Amino acid sequence: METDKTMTPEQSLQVISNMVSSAKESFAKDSGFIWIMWGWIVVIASSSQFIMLQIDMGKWSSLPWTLTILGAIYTVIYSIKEAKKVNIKTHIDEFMKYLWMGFGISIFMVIGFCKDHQELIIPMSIILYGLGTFVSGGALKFKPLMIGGFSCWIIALAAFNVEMIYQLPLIAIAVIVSYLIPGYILKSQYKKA
Amino acid sequence: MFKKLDPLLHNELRLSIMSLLISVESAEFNFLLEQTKASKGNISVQLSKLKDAGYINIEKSFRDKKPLTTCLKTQKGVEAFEAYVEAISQYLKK
Repeated sequence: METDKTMTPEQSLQVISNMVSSAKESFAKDSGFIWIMWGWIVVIASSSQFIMLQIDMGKWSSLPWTLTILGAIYTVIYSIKEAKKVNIKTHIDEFMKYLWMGFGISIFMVIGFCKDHQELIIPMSIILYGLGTFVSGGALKFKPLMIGGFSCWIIALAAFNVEMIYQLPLIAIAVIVSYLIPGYILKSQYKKA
Repeated sequence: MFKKLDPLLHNELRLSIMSLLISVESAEFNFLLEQTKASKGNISVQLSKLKDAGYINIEKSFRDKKPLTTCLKTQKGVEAFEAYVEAISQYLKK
């Protein structure tokens, strides 16, 4: 491009339009990996705990949830690696970063400080899943996440009203609708692109 | 009465750079290179002009021991871009 080329207003508009479209096409596509990973972590942990409680291994039944610590560490590593692959940061990237940091802190507090009200841990966690996925869905304009997120709030209402052991299948259902289904849809869209 | 077009933005490469930066939170030098298909030298010159005018900020850092230049729009740059778009809209209405 010459530095002193005179443009008509039409040409200026065309330049702006081309560059804005081009930038939008460069936005990193979500492969769905993190959604799928977390979905399976929670399904495996909640199912394992449910089975262990049924077969009288109650003492060890919280152990499967240590998978979430590994998941959190891997999520951070993965996010940093993915960010290096693209050479732009979008407003949505920044928003999502702070949303999920806030989610992480909130869920840590729910799990850590509900010792005297353990029956609230799962329902409140499901509410937080709803918040994270509904807001992400809205920001990304991706309906499956919004539907999944909203479904979490309905499931949370049920979770408040059942025995603790039956909250475990409910949290599994919550992540299936809000993480796994949207995650696999994103994966199939990513492959097609 | 037509508004005068900002000469800093009324240049194909500088306008391209500002349009890209408006669309994102920040962009690395290589992104600008890929999208505008201009030469490194030319982009560097135009970035300096935009920076001197206060329309963009340039951050220099390192990644994997290689120098990294990241560009961001400023509030002044956003306002100037919006005023430019408004001004060309006036021309196009006629």
